[in-house]
Amino acid sequence: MMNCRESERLLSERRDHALPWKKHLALRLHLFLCVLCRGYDAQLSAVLGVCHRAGAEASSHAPSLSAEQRRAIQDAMERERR
Amino acid sequence: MATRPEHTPPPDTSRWVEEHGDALYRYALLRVNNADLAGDLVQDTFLSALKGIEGFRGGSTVRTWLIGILKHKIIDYYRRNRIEILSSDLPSSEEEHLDHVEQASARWSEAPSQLVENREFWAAFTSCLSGLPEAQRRAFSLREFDGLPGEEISKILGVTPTNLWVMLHRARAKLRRCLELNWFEAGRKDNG
Repeated sequence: MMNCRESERLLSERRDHALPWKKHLALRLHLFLCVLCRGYDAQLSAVLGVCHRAGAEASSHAPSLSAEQRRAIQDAMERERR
Repeated sequence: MATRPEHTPPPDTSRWVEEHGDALYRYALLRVNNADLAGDLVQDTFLSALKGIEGFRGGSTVRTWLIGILKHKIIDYYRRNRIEILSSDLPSSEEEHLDHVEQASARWSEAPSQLVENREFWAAFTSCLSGLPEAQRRAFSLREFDGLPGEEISKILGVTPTNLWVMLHRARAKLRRCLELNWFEAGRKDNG
């Protein structure tokens, strides 16, 4: 019988590659029996859902370029245009 | 999508920094976690785009085109500045402890779009990301922010697929645990 530690590892790994069928079945059985691992998987999905969203478009609360960085970039672009 | 006809003039670059600078900077900062480096990568991106402006055919928006250039700059940076994989990134080097919780906060069910735009959540999220070891953070970023396949990430970072899976598992577990403590659990306490 698979333990919760192994289950947590496979809940991550199955997001990166297909598990061998024996491990896949053992994980399915473990999840059927273990409410805590089902909860863990749901939380992992929630965290990664945030990451996918943030990866596509960062939060408007993320920092902006500083005035100094902005000026340096504009100067460098001006030199490039000449 | 229609492409820009050959005779169409190239886009006006004079307002690029104003229009796209912050979006590019935020994209880079989320992935490299260093303000100076993120600024340098944005500058390199604009300069490369100016040099290659004739290559822009209008099949995508200017923003998408610039982000594509920046994405390659970040990957090049990772390739050129490989970091040593720590023993804690390798299998069987660290006793995995159980990570699941007895009673989850209702905050876990909030939509990703709401969480990303919640100022306090964003502060907790970026702080938790900063706490990941550098190798794990890079692997996690390429996988979860950019959605690259594991095989490609292994090549970029110079690690075996098995070690990559371990790094990703540790990063995901640490990030989940950190957010549980600093955001979700805090919400549960606030709500009694």
